[in-house]
Amino acid sequence: MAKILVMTDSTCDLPADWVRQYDVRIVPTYVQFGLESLADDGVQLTRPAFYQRLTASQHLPTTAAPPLGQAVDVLTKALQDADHVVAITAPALLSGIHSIFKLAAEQTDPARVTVIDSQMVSMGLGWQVVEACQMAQQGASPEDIRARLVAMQPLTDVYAALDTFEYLRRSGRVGWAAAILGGFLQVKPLIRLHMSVVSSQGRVRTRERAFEALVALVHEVAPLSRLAVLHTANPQAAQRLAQAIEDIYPPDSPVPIVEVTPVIGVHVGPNALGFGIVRAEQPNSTAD
Amino acid sequence: MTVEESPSQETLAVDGQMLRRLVQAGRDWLDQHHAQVNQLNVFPVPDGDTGTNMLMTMRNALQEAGTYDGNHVGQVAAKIAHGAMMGSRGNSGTILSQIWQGFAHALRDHATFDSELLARALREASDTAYRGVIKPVEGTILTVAREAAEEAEAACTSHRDIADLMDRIVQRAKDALARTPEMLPILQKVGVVDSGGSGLVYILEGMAQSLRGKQIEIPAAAPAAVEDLAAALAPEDELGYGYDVQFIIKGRNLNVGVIRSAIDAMGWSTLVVGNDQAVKVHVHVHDPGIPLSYAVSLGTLSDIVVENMQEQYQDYLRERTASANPSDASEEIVPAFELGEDDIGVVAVASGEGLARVFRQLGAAELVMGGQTNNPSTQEILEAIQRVPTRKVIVLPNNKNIILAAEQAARLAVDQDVIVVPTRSMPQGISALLPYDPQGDLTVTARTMEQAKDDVVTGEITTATRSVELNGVEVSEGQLIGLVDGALSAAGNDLEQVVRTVLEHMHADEHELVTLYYGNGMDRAEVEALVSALSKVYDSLEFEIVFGGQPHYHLILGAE
Repeated sequence: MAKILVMTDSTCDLPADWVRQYDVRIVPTYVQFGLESLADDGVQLTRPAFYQRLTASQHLPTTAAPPLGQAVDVLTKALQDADHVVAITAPALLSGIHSIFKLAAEQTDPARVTVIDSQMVSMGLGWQVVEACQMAQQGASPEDIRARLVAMQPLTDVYAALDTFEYLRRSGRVGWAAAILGGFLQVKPLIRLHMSVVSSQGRVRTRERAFEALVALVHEVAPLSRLAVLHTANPQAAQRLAQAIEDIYPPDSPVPIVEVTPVIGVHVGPNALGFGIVRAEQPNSTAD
Repeated sequence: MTVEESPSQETLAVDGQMLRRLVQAGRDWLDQHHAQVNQLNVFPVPDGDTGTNMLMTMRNALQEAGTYDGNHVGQVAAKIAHGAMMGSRGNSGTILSQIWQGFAHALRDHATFDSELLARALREASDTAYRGVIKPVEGTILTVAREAAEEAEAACTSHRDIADLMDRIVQRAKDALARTPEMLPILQKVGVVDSGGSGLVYILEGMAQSLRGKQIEIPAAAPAAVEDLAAALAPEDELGYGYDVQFIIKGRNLNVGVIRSAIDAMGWSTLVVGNDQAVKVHVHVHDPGIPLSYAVSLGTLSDIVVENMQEQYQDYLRERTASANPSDASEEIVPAFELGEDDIGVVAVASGEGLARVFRQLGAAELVMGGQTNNPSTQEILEAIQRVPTRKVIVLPNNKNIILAAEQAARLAVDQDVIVVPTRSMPQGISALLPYDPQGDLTVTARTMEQAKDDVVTGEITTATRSVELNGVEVSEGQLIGLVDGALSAAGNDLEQVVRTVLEHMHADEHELVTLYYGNGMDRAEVEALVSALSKVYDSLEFEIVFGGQPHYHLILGAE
């Protein structure tokens, strides 16, 4: 049986014990405060330190895809350790990571690398990585894995309630949010990432209503096959959210509570709350 | 030095050490300009870091070049390319590293390069960069790299002196950069040239200057990187940053709207706030005389401040960052939604210019100015409905005395489907507008909005126009009175006391957020002082202060 390793980028938010368990190879992405560039590797940049600094910083930090050389290094090592590498990335539409992984594949051994655009970030990407790892362990081929992930993507969503519009607006990555000029009135947007597109799911003005809206949203899309609760520097609310949706936990999958990578935190700001889900496949369902 | 030099200081060949110097000059020139490059960054993602990313890529490239002290140009180029690849950041950095990759590949077996080999290396640099991008887009750094290569190919036989050739290349690269807005619509729209292309021009220009023997001096304190796109879009053109001009106009019957548009036409970063007796102006201009002479024709001026922004630029950035927070910033608002004919459009009645901006921000397509003391007519509401470019319209009257006129207007708008969501106050209207979805079903959306209007409790503070006793509250003419959802609940002479009584009637302690929309008669500092006093009583309640600009009502409160 050919050995397959899975490689991804640090926007996947995969909990550390799963990274170890499945030997996932992760290329860090970068957060930049001016000319200071910090790798999202849990060493140069820890999440608590980052969110503290994000709130205190006068200017928004920016995010950057990893250097090509770093992706080449990680990939070269993975190719030494396995027969084939499945490299799953953040959305090509929202980030340069996908092109860098493709370039890295071209510069190493393209025939032994399968690069897949997950169209997702955070655990939306993370669940695809888990799926790929589990399939690889069961002996699936790279093409089987690709086909499975492509089928899974329309069922995969990240929903989030942001504490403020400011970060999303200023990040420039979401056209409709960028069009909204500096708020005269604070609103908390509810957003959805689906198939590489960030859309608005509504607006509320208080945290309590944001919380209720999220609980209602996840109940609307249940049943689920995968569920992760996500937050940015908001652990207590994340615990509460996890408890409030216990009735729709997927039957055979753990429900991790994940603090989201700084690279996404730059674009959504602190105190956000959400979840990364994969909806259960329902035969004869017309839901998209 | 092994470089061939003719008596007339011609450079006919470049060796490894010289390439290192040239690339260092390119990096230094980019270092001096990377903040400007950041400012241009609108494509593919306007996050204002192109200059930073390219500079970090160049720094790493040079650092790596320093690990080899030989003189073989191919080896130096290989080091540069490797360093660029390992240190590249972001899209622009990645493409730049590909440029160096191709450049180095062409030079790999050569100890020096001449004009013709430089042309070949630039061609390979451009080709490698194009190949490295999944969907090459013209009007970017790719175009600049390609045209630089084309120029080198065309001129290399007639320009043996590499300094001459580089001058031609830089000129062509600048021309290409200037044409990027014609190729990439987003650049045209924002009025900038491509940021990555501009970074490459700085690198080439620094190299060309070094060939001419110019030293590039790094200022002791390099300008800090600019990361604020909004501020970055302020024009720093050949006239420099210009002047920051502030003053207050005092007069009678001042028209804030008219003054704002006049001032706005004179400069940028305009901030004009105030009322009919005093208007505060803040604007950035190249000639401070222009707004000052205009203003003096309207009334008397006070608190005049004129600052040279070259020196003040950092302060200005801080101020802009602060004004990104909810404040009285009076920028023209881009409607939140672009409406198609089949969408739902919203008409909202607003009683002040600040409230009007809030409704616009939340997506109202048309506004009708009016409120408690100046109810708009059915005709005015009808005209606003007809101005909305959609067949389905929702009207928010935002006052109980306007609901009937709105319903009448809805019936008269025969060409459109119109539903009135009977909002009775400005906060109710704002609350109703939050879940508005222009692409939704009309009936469902109207029902959702109607439910949402009750998410908020409204309080209003005004001055009694006559003495009365109502709901057990005794009021004398001229006193402050407080209403909760339209019912008289408090009266007194002390603002804080009246507001506190109103908040109690609103059951503020059971809510999370109280928004205070302050009227024309109050200034922000007064409201801030009030809020800091109230925060001591309601320590778990969040307060937000918003300029409402409504007449007669000192404060409108929304608790949710």
